[in-house]
Amino acid sequence: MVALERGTLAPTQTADDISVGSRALMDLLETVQSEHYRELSDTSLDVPAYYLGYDVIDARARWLGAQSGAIMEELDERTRLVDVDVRVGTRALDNGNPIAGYERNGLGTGASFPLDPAPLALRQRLWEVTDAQYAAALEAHAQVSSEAQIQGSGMSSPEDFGPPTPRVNYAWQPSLHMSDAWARWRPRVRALSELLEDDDQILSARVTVQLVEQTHHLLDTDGGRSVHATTRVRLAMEVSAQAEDGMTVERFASFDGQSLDALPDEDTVREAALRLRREVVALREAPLATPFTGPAILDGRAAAVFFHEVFGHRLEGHRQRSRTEGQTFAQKLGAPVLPPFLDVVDDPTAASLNGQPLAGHYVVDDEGVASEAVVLVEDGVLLDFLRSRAPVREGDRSNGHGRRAPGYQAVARQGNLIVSANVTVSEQTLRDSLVKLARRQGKPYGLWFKEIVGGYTTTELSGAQAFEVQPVLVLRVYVDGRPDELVRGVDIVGTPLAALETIVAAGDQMEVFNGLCGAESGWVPVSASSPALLLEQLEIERGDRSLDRATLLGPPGREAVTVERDRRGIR
Amino acid sequence: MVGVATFAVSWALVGALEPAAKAPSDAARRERLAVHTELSRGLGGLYIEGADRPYALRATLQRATLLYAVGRYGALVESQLVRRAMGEVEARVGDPARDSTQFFGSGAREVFQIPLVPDAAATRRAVWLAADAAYKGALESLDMRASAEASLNAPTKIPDWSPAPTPLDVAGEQDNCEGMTSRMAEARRWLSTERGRVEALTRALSEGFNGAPWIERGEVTLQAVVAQRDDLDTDGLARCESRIEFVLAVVAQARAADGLVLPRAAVLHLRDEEWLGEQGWKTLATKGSALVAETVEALALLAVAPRVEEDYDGPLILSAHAAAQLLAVTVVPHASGTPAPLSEYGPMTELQPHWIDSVGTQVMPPWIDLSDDPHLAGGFGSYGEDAQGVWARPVDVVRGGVLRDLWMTRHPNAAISASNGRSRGTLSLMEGASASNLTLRSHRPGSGADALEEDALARAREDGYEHIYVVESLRDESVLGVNEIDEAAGYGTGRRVDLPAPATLVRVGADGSRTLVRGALLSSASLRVLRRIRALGDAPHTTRFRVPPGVAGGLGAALGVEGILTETVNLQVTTPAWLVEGLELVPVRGEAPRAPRLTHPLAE
Repeated sequence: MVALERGTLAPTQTADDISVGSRALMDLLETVQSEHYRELSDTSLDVPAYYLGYDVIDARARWLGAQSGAIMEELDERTRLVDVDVRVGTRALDNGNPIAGYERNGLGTGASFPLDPAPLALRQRLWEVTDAQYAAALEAHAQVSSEAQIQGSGMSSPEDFGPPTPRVNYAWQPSLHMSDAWARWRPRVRALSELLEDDDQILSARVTVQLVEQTHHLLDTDGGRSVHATTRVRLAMEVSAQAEDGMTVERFASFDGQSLDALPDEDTVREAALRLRREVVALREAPLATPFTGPAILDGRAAAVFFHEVFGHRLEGHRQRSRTEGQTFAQKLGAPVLPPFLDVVDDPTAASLNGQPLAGHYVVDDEGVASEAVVLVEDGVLLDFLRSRAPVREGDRSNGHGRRAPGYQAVARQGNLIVSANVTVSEQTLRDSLVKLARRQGKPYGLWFKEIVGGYTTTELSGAQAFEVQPVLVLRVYVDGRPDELVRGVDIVGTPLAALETIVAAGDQMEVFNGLCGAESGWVPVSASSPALLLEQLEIERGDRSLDRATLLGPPGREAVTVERDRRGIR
Repeated sequence: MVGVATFAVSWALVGALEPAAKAPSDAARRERLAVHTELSRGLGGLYIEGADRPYALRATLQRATLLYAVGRYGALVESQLVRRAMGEVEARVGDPARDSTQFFGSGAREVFQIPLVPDAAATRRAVWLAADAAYKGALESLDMRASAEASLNAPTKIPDWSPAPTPLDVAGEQDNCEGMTSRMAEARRWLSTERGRVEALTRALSEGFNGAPWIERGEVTLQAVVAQRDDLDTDGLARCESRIEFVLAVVAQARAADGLVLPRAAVLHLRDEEWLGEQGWKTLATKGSALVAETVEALALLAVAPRVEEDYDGPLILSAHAAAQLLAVTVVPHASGTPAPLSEYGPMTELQPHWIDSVGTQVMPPWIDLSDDPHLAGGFGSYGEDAQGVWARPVDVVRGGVLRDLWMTRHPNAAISASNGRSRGTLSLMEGASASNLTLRSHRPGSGADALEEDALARAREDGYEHIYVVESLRDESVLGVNEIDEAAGYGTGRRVDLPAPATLVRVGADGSRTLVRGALLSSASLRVLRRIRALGDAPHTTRFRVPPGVAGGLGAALGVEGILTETVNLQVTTPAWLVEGLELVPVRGEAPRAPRLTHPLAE
């Protein structure tokens, strides 16, 4: 069952709720933008600008990190950055064309911006950054134009930047009131880090809690005007141990939300810490896995990460446009790409799923477009792509997935990727099916992937169209009824089309993975959700893990340090 | 009495501060004991069968609170109050005659996080893991060294580590450390409470650019740091050191009509009591305003000044300030006594100090002495014992023009075996040899400014010039960062040093005319140019610097303002003006960057 809860905020068309400071900043941005645009779009210039966008991002961040029961890091900062986008040439062919790359092309700066409302300081900084971006845009455009001449027609189809659309969005979220909540977390992270380390087998453990509040002030010459805020909270725990053969084994867990209240209560977090510690100690003792091909179950969270890497990235719009991309699905609109019992949607408007917060929730994207739920796959048939303002096909409009971290060019990215099944089975049935498949294939066991921490996928033509994901909790499920066996040190490898067509069944419980995803436009928060999936065939190989010699001495005692001074004395 | 007490700050100066708390010093004492215990355990227990055991382990703990504010045109652009706590363990494997440290890229040092406030158990655990990694890294380095020595036929001739210094008074040092910990805790709190004041001053000073349309960008940065460092080793070292530092930097950029970009920096370095209390704030406001005003005025004049169009190899006059800068670029890094490490391709010659093989030879004119005194009263570079626990000894590095000594750490070289206490550590845990309070003196009476210029003009005529140049100041790359000018002059080869471009340069004609000029660079030069100092002025001037230590340090390290407190050690140089030959001025020949397309807001 999939129960999506929408965010409580919706884009509005009025500025009533924004603060006085934000309103004043928007007014100043509008004035300066109009002056700068008038100068840069002057048709007497060799290559005038046709688009100018500003996004001033006010950020407040707090961070606490603990190890061994002590606070190791603490941060409380307020920053202001500005992204300035200058587009020169024409919408058909401009400096945003993939041929110019995604950096130093006049799009995205992440430059520091005055924190105070001093008009001269704000104007000087906009002048400096805008001028530099125009210079970068000219350079990138020269490269694109030159390449277009060499390559001939086709390079600019479809156009590089979609037509202007009215985009006036104001969305506001309340402040986190961070100082009230913060004090509670200091003793908690210390205690959790101590708890995670409280076993002689543990090498190190770390607990962090992070709060980030960002307010975007976005204004562009295509009529975009948006003020929107996001808040994110993350509690993360990581713990590592070292196996006898020197391999470092790790476990990680995080809790994400849009407010501190969304984090689980102390008992739940403590239980999770104890589970992580147990798992890493068990992993330390587990045998090394050997390369294997056979049936496998991906638990919900593992399947979610698998889909994010293997499938989601390949549906990002800019990958269908660039000639250097593999374009795995570019020509498959309307064609089956998954088993018919699977649907896939990317829905940044959803704030939670079955009560669990979704980290990829946002109201307005980084190009000022209201986010939309996009049905990517229905009954296994590919219906759409994730789109920014760079069209995938002629006539496309953005579906609110233009995303970036400050300093990067916005491209189409995933938000909340949700895989759902219209035919599901229980966990026991999945397990029985796994055993049957293994037996049929003559394998002594099938694999059950409980947790995947991440991975990568190659989408560019210059590399193999392959993926690799890193599972950390893998069980062998034996066909002869032996107890399940935990193994360590494997990676899942394969090619997307081959892997996806071997999905034969789905579980009946949805699970959510929240994380950060890094790509051309920087790190953005995302989620992926899926039921467990049974695959007829999956390949694993030995993972590339460090094999350092184990620590030569055991951990120092935890007793009070009352040792005698060295006879030589401490000077 | 240990040298660190010299830096002890009387916090009563800063007003309403509570008495030193007991708790921080107790926790710090327990932490130091825990670290010492763990180092001793590591020294006795770290062992891989068939491999060498460590013969020394050392741990450094450093905690710093850094306040950083940047202002432009009356607004804050950045404001951060950051606490950093880092540790480092170094392992030495082999023996003092030949150990694991003298190989480039040695993995014998492990840097790690420590708790923000002293915590015996957590820090000991971190030291345990770091010592393990450092020992393994040291073994690897020693193996790589052996392999390189065998393949290069480069057997070890110079020992790598000199004996530990004479033990100092244990009880006194412990008391001093505990007192210091409490004072530093107070200082951190004080810094937090003064944040608003630092921000307000940054804003106010940066408004000084508001009426200067010829300046494209004007920025004021204020940084303050309160830090404590503890060093412990298995030779018995247990020292602590506090640092309270402040810097005010003014950075601005103008552009001449021909497109030449004119960056300029001015900096005020303060330490300890100098910026504390009401008087300190007044000093900052007054001197800060003056620096901004000077920068604004200097750029106004430079923007309309004529360009240097000629190559010039005649005599130059360096003002006392410029001469101090030149010493900070040349002698400060290259009088290091630490030999270059070995690499798999042989010794890293680029890390070999230029004067290391010159002890006993003439390096300056016979009427010049150059001395360095770490205990100079009121000296900006003063300290007591160095980061290796060696009491710093005043040295006459050059006497009668002959090189007599070098900046020595416990790492010997072919000429000098003992440390003279010049191992200096930065807040980022870099460590290297450097000077402290460097003074250049002449045995002969100095010349007045007019006499110096007449002398220079007479020498210039012999070279066929009817004018000379006076370098008032060099570009301060410790604040401005890397020079972005396309400088043909900067390509140093062999044993030459890249020199910063002149920031203020005046052409003096035979008729006495004085013209401010721009667009000249100084060609890279050998340290032999110091033998061609022909005369000195009669008015010594002291200039303060913050420079990275080591042979890659000095004023030419081009840090940029971000690293000026964390990557550096304090230094002062005192010298009169110089008349020098052998330096060469060349004009900037690179293309000027594109002029801004947009109209500057102040020009509207």
